[in-house]
Amino acid sequence: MADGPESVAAIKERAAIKAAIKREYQKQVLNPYRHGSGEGGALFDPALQRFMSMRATQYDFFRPTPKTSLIGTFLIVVPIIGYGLLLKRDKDQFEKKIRTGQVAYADREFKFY
Amino acid sequence: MARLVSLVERSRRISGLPGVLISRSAGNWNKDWKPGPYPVTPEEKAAAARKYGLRPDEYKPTPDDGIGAGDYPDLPLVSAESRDPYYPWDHPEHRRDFMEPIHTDYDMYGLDRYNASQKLRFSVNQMFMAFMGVMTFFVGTFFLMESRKIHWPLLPKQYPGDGKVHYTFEKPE
Repeated sequence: MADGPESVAAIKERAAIKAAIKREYQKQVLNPYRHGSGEGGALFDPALQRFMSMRATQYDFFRPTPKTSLIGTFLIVVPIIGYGLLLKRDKDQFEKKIRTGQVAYADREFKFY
Repeated sequence: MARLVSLVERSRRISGLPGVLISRSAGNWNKDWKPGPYPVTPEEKAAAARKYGLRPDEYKPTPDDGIGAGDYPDLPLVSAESRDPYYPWDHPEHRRDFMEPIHTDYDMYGLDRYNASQKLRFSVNQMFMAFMGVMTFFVGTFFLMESRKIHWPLLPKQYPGDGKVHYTFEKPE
């Protein structure tokens, strides 16, 4: 336990690194000549850049596996095709009713012309 | 300038910043900053941990299940709202420090979004049961009483019609 990630030594090491980064961040952010090095504005944050690049390139890490195939089937293919089939069934039933004369003139679909 | 260089050196030790802070080069491209492939050997894992600024024993890559993110770390999820509001964060509007590694779904857990790591007053089960109880009461009342409506003590309206006699004008005895 003395060397694990939750040990006192690890906590102290993390705190020291964090304090150093914080000190440098304050110095850079308050540096009035930062524009002179050609890069002014928001201080470049490599962690943020890595996150943005990860999100932008998420498709590069996609791989067809059983899990992703199931997700694709049940969230994309089934809703689209299922909704289409339901619509077709409803419309066919209504058309059958109309063609066999079961729908009154007052219940017709398009009334306003 | 010397401080910039030393910042780069220290950052390089911590997170492998490849000299971008001091170069006026052609910008930061996704191909340079995107995550690497999923690390398999311990050396790859250690290199990835160093790249993201984590210790090797606390670095865990996102699971390689087809919708992962290569060697991007699987960080513990702490929403912004759950973080200490009195700590001097570098970016207080995100409750995040400079160069702190960012969770994969970070945009969902900001201060104006979902607080996934809060300690709930009632558990999700209790909340669900309470909701179902209230809705059962309302819906049940509707179903039971819809055919048994209550109304003012009124008689039906007496409309004129062919042959209907509602009142015979007889003198009271």
